[in-house]
Order: sequence, then C-alpha cells, then structure tokens
Amino acid sequence: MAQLEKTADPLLEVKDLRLSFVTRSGVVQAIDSVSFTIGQGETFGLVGETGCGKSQTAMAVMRLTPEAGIIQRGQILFEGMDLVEGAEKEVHTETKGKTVQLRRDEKAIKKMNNRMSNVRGRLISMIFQEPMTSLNPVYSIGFQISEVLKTHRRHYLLARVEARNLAKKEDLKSVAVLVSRPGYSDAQLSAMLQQLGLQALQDEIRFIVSRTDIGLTQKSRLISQLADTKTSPIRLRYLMNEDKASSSFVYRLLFRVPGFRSWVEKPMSDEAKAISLELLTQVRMPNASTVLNQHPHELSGGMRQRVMIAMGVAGKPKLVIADEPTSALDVTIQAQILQLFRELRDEMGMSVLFISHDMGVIAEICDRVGVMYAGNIVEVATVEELFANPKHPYTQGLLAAIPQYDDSKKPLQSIPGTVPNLINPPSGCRFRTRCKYAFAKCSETPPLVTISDNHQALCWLYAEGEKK
Amino acid sequence: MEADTINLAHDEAAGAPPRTGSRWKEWRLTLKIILENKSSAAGLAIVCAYLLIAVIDWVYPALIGVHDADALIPNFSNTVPQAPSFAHIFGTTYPGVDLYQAIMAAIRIDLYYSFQVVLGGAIIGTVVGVCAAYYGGYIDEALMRFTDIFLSIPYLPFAIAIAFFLGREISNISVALTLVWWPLYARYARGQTLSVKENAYVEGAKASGVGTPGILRYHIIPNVLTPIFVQISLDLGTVVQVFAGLVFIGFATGNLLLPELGTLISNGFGFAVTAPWTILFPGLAILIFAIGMNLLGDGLRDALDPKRRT
Amino acid sequence: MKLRYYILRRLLFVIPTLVGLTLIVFILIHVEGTDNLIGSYINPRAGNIAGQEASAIQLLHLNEPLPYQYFYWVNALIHGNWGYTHTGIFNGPVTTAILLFYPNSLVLAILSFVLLTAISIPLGVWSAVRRNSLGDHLTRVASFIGYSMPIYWLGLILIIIFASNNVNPALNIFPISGTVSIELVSNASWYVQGVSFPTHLLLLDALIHGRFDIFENAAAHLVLPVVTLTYGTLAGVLRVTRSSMQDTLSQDYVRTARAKGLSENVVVKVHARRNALIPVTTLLGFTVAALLGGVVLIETVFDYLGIGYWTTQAFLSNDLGGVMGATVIFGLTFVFANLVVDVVYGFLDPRIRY
Repeated sequence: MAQLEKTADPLLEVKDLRLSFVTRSGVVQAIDSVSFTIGQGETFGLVGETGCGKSQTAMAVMRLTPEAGIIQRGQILFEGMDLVEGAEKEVHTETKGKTVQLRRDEKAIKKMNNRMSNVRGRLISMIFQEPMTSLNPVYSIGFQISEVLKTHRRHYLLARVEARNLAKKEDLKSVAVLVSRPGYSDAQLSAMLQQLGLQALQDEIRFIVSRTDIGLTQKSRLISQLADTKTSPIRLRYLMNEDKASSSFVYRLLFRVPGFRSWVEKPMSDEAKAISLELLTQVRMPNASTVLNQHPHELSGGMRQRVMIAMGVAGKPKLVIADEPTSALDVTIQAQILQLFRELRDEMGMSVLFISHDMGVIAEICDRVGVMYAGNIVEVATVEELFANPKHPYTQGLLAAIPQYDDSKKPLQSIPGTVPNLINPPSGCRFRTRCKYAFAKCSETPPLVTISDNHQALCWLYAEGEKK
Repeated sequence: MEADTINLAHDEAAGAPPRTGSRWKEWRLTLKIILENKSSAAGLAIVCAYLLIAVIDWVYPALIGVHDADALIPNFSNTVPQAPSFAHIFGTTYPGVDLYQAIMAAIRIDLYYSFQVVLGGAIIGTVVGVCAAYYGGYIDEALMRFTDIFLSIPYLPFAIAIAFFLGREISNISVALTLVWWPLYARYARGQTLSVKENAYVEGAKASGVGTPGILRYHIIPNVLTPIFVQISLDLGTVVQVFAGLVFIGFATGNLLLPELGTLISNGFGFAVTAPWTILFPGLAILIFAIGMNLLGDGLRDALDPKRRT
Repeated sequence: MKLRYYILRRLLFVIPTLVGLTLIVFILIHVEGTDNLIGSYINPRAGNIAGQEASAIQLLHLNEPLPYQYFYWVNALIHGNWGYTHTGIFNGPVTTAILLFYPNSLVLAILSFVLLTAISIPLGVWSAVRRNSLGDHLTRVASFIGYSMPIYWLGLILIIIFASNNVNPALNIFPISGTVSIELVSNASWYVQGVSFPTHLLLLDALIHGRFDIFENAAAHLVLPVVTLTYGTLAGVLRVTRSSMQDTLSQDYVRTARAKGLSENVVVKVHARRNALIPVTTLLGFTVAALLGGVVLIETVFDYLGIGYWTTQAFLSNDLGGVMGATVIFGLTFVFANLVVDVVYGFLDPRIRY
C-alpha cells in the first residue's frame, strides 16, 4: 500500500505493518496493512475504539509486542533504520492439524531485545497507560529514573562529574554573581561557563536559578556548593577509562563482588540522582526531593504518571510514544498532564506518537491524526481538517458520539454494532458491517483515496467513479 | 457474564435448589480437562490404581494374592530377606515376610490414615478459617493467633511431641498429624473466604436479605471448598511420606507385623546394604503414589482455574 | 517507615509467639498430669530421689494453680533448668544435651539451607527465563521427583550406594554414619565426650586447632546428610521460584524496564528477580519447618548425633525431659529463622514496611 503522506524528512515511517495474535480460538488479525509517518517535531495521534490495534501499533514500534504476537510483514523505519528486520525469524507459526501453534526462537528474541536496547529509551521512549502497575514497586523513584540516565547518557553524566571536580569555588562564586544580577541573559551564562570550562554544569545552574521556592542568597550558596562534591582521582580515572577498565580481567573479577560496581559508580549514580531531581521538577512534581526517595506505592496515579513522563524524557529521545497516558487519571489531573506534555514537547523539540480513544484529547494536542478501526488506519488528516471535514463514515460516527454541552436536547449518538471478530474479519472494508452507507463494492478491499493534500481516507465512497 | 453470576446468586439466594444437572456438567468438564493433559491423566490413573488396591484389600484381598490384609505373615524359619524370585516377586523382608503381599496390604493402611489426616485437618482448618474471615474483628484475631501458635513449632517435631503424650500407637500418629496439619488449612481457607467475601454476589445476597447460614451455605462454602479440595490433593502425597516417616523412626516398634510402608522400610533398615530390595520397593510404593497425587493435584489446580475453563 | 522500625516491630512480635510456643508445650505436658514432669527433673544418679522430688515440686510450684505453674516453669526454662534426659545416647541435664547435639544439627541445617537457596533460586529463575527449553523440562522433572520422594528413603538409597562393603569400592568415598570417625578424635584433647571446644562446632574447632584431617573427616560425614536434606527440600522452592518469576516477567513494570532500553540481563536480574523473590521468601519460612522436620528423619537414618536423633531416642525411651527440651529448642529455632526471613522480606519489599 502506498505511503499515506510524504513529510519532508520523516522521523518514523511505518510501512504496511501486519501483526497477528495466535490464540486458542484462532489467529487474530490485530493490525492489517497499517502505514503512517511522523515528521520531525510532529505530534501524530492515533485514535479509535478499544481493541482497534492502536496500542499494538505502538508496541510494535518499540518491539514490545506481547508473547503471542507475530509481526508478519512490513517495515518500521526510524531514521532509515528498520526496526522489524528479521522479526519473522523470532516468532512464527506452525500449523499442526487444526491448531496453529506459536514457535518462538528465544535466542533471536534475546538478540532483538539487546539490539533494541540502543533504541528504546534513547531514541524512542514510551509512556504507558497504567501508571499504577508500570513502575517497579520495589525500587525508589530516584533509582528508576537514574537507570535511564545511566544507561543512555553516560557521557553527559561523566562530563558533569568531571566538571564538578574541575570547578573552583571562586569561579562558581563569580557565576553566582552573574546570575543574581537582574536581566542577565542565558547567552552570557553560557559564554562564562564556556570560558571556565564548566559547560557541563550549565543545566544544573539553570535549574537552580529557575527554582522558585528559594531566595537569591540561597541560590548563590547552592551554586557555590556545586564544587563541594569531589570524586577521588582513582574512581574518576576508572570512570573516564571505563571501556578499557571493564575489559581488564581484574575489574571483571572485582565486578563479581557484590556492591563493588555500585561503589565504583557511586559518583555517577549521585549525578544521575541530581539530574532525576531536575527532571522531576521539570515535570512539576510537588516535593520532588522527597519523591526521589519514595517508592511507587506512596504516590498517587497522577504523580506516578509524572514519574513515567520524567523517565520517558530522561534519555532525550527523538520520539515519545504516549499510550493513553491520561486515560487512567481524573479529569483535572488529565488536563494538567496534557498541559505538561505539550510544554515538554515544545521545550525539547521531540516528536510524539499520541494514542487515545478520546477525540477531545486528540484535538488538544495533535498536529495530525490517524483514525484506526479494526486494525486499519481508515483516515489520516491534520487535526483541523479531520474535525472540520471528516470523510470516513467511522470518523463521522466517532465525532458525532462526542457528548456536546451546548445541544443537550439532542440524544447522544453512537455507532451501532461492535468491532468485528478479527479472527474472521469481514472481507473488503472492515467497517462495512456497521456502516450505514455500505454498498456492494464495499466487500472489496477499499482504496486509499486522497481527499486533499493532507487528508486521505480508506473508503469506496470517495473513489473515482464509485460514487453512488 | 457478570450479570449472569449475579442472577444465579439471586436464584440460589431465593432458596432454589442447587442445579444438580449443571454441577454434574462441571465435574465432567473438570474430568475432561484432566484427561486432556497427559501428565495429569497419568496421575489420575496412578491414584485410581492405588485406591483400587486399597478397596480390594478391604473387600477381597485374595484377588491380588494377599492372604491377610491386616497383619504380615512372618516366616520365622527363615527371617533373613530373600532376593526376588518367582515365589516372591519382590523378594522377602525381615522377618521372612513376602514383600509383594506386604506392600499391597500396606497401601490400604497408609491411604486410610493419610486420608484421615488430610480430611480431618481440612475440616477443622476450613471451619476455623471460614469463621475467622466471615466474622472478622476479635473473632478473627483470636482464631488466627491461636492458629499461629500451632505454626510456631516445625510440624514434624511437634507431631512427635503430641504423639509422645498421646501414647505410641499408630492411630495416635494420625491424630498428631491432624493436629499439626489443620493450621495450614485454616490460613488457606481464611484467605479464600476473604477474597470470596468481597465479591459482588455476596454483597448482592446480603442486600437481598439472605441470612448468615444461607450466605455460608450457598456462596462461601462452595467457593472455598474448590481450592481446599485442590490443596488436599496436593497435600496427600506429602502426608503419606510424613506418616510413613514417623512410623519408620519408630512409632510402631511395638508391632513389627503391621502392614505399613514405614514399618517395612524400618524392618529392612538393618539389611539395607545386603538386601536393598527391602528398602527399594516399599519406598517406590510411596514415591509413585506421591508422584501420582502431585500430578493429579497440579492437573486439578489447572482444571479448576476459571481462566482455563473457558 | 524505615526498615529499622519494621525490624523493631517484628522483634516485639516474637514475644507473643514465644508465649504461645511455651504455652502449648506446657499444655501438652499437663495433659498427662505432673508425675512425668517431676520425673524429668530428677537425676537418678544423684540419689535422694524423695528430696529431689520435693525440690522439683517447689521449683515448679506444682501445688499451686496452673497459671502459676506455667509462670514458674517458664522461669525455670529461662534460668536454664530444663530437667534431665535419659536416653541411650546421652544421660544428664537437658541443657547439656542441647549444647552437645545442637551445634551438629545447626551445621547440617544451615549448610542445607544455604545450599538449597543457592541452587533452587538461580535455577528457578533460569528455568523461567528459558521456559520450555530442554534444561527447563529436565529441571522440572528432577524437582518433581524430589518433591515426591520420601526424604529418609533417599537417605537409605544413598547409604546402599555408598556403603563401604559394597561390591563397588570406587564408591566408598563418603562415610554413611556418625559425625566424625572416633579413632581420629580420640587423641584430640579439645574433643571431650562428643563436644568440641571452644566453639562446639566441630568443623570450626578442627580448623582452630589445625587438625585438617579431622576437618576433612567431619566434612565428609556431612556430605550425604546435607545432600539428602537439600534435595528433599529444594523442589518446593524451585517450583515456586519458577512460577513466581514467570509471573513477574509478564508484569507491566518489566515491560517498562524493557521500554527504558535496559539490557535483558538487567531486566531479568534487577527488575524481575527481586520482585519474584518476594513470595519465595515467604515460602522459605515454611521450608525451614520442612528442613527441621527433615533433620529428625535424616539424623536417624545416618546416625548423625544431632537434636533430631536425640528427639527420636528420647521418644523411644519414654523420656519426657528430652522430648520437651527438643520441642522447645526446635520451636525457638523456627521462630528465630522466621524472624530472619521476615527481615529479609522487609528488605526486599518496601510495601511491607508499612
């Protein structure tokens, strides 16, 4: 199937993705021929009913498809790199008489997971729907965020450790003087730090300056205290030449001793904790420094989701996948989280794949939207276009089903029927069993019709010469 | 689905007799799931074979070649164990007892006492556990502290102590084991009751004015009994081992001719090195029963798991 | 709450447990009447039986109501006055018997416990990660058989295999009975009547006195009992570890850990394993009970001079002092072991500390 839309320089390109699940009752065609692209800095929404395959599309991009799932064909290109290459080797089906069985090649899956560990969290990160169960209950929040930093941003951590070691008290004092002067510019600060060779501390200084809970004197003191934590030269030398050291026999032996590795890496862990605190503040976590040492069960759902978001952006990914991040939250918290999301996105310039069943949320945050139904993307358009001029009957149904405040007299609309059984999906257009415009042609596979430059629909109604 | 359950609850709450037809169907489904799985089917076969032997011992022992199912028949003219031969297919053990007959007769005694222990423990434990969980509050606290006291001594030394004060007799072993086994069931039944109690249909029954006996009879007991039943089947194998073990270390020294697997092992103890079959065969009889029981128990647990039934 | 408060609270909780433990032993004793109890406080070799009887009645306040009697009995226990034991293997005060037998059993139980934990948990984790592989199937079959096998029978089979007059002399590696070869310790001045000095732990004392031959011999005597005890109790822990690990691996937070880009190794060992160990820890508490029960059977099979062997002997020679003392000491060991298990539990699971 042709690409849905050409963006100048797509970050993520999903091409003709097809994914099935093997269950006891048969093979479920969860995703069929899904294609879409996400441009740099763009927010792309996927919307649809429960079970239409939107979450599974996201999981496929992360290569976190549940055990029974098989990626049958297609490509997922991230900056030109195919993430699903070789997926058919990992899991495949075997037909034994009447039953279809799943064969998993555990070695290939392990290899894929290890290959993907350079992508997950670093290039693409994901925020899940269930904040209550998505955090590990036995580790502190600080530990769970630091982990991402220690895995994906080692160089940055090291630079900060080193800069802290180099920093002199007098230098930092002069920096403190600079930032306490009213009307100083960010460029001035950068230039000064550049001159002192302390660029790595810039983020932390900025964070201290931006704090609103403390006064100027306190800020100056905090800045001059940055030089207080020094790392012993031995540890620093190890950390700087880590690759060489970890290949040496002695170190590998020593790493077997419980606690040795964490002792050696303590300066890095401390640095990661400091950054975690900055991140938690950035996601507007109340009492961030307390939360850092708390465990997930001590936090509310909204706070946990903030932690998930902090974790999601910690690795400075280019694409964040948000799988219904607000569905499990109260309405007021939902609005806050959405607001936060928008701010972070603009601040960091990331692309977002936003998944929701809520048209209102989609309208709030997305640039472009893909509407999914029963494993197909049935319509793609910019947000304005989609809401103003929905073409596919399913999209029209979805929009009509949004409760409206103003005309409360009108009865609520709903789409009759339910999502079809995907073990034996209807032939042709999968929506035709519920579509009020369905006609004979609909039992053939529908074409993707371009309505306008940024609007396409998968429907016979708009195909040339097929109009009723 | 949920609406169904609630309707059903109301039917029964209103005093409708339990639908025997559907219960029979449930059992057939369970059996079918067990037979579908090779290992649990093997377990069922083993357990049935042992039960059959026990019944034959009781009704007509000569059918499987056992002359006396209540006592071993010694041969004092030659008490030294003889190797397996055509006359004695498992050989003989001290004092000149045919091992095949001995084991066949012993299966009945071991099974009888083990069932006594497990069923006794399960009944006491379930009553205590269900009461504790259902009434809650002080009753719960008191009953569970009482249970905890019983759990503060490892079961085997505890059983030895109880049997010591009761007197050295084989029936006292089963009393002692029952006394140390019930607290486990009490804890288990309490946990199950607590989770059943939270269910919507119990709330529904309460709201529609069903009294305590009705709720216990129709809602709690049936739902607690299923997991208890699975636990019984998983425990039986262990209890047979422990029971024979207690006899082995000398609980029944007074009676060398009691057909019991532990006695047989203990009788052969002195000849272990020169006549290994005296140890091997009685032990295998326990091992095979325990394997069969555990296989069946695992199968039952899977078969009664609602997730697997659909 | 901090971990130390949790530990403190757990320590306080030991008190009612100990009261319950002593109460139940006390009730058991009094079911039969007090004659036996008086008997167990009499040392027949010291003479003046009537005088001793009178002083025992006075010590335990047997003329007063039962609650007082309980109080004075516990008081006697606390002051180390546990009565006398008369068995084929030891005659004398119960406390001396415990001093003599307890270290041997402790070594046996601790070695088995360490071994069973060190084998079953990694193997269970591995089995869950490599699910349905050949190794997983073999592990499961082996553990299933171990679970179903009577532990004393396994000991006997090992005795048959390793017996020294066996047809196959290549297998005469491990001694099949006792704690140490008598001829080796007969000339050791620090080994008096079955008790080694100064620590009472034979293995340790042999090292202290530089007698490596004794150390080696005592260690060899331990091999078969420890192997039997470990294999017999290992299977349950292995099964639970495997199923718990399998359960954990399908949790949302493991998916999150993968989504963070952690390596599979870290996902399994840091994120899944620690959670999977929480139910395993609870089970380890119960396993201690099975282990101590196994000690009774195994020591009898291998003639290993420990608390379990003494318990059996006391039981068979109708010795109340021995049975009572052994029951209390088994109970104390179990309570203490559960305390340790609970502290580990609190360390593993931050939720429990509340």
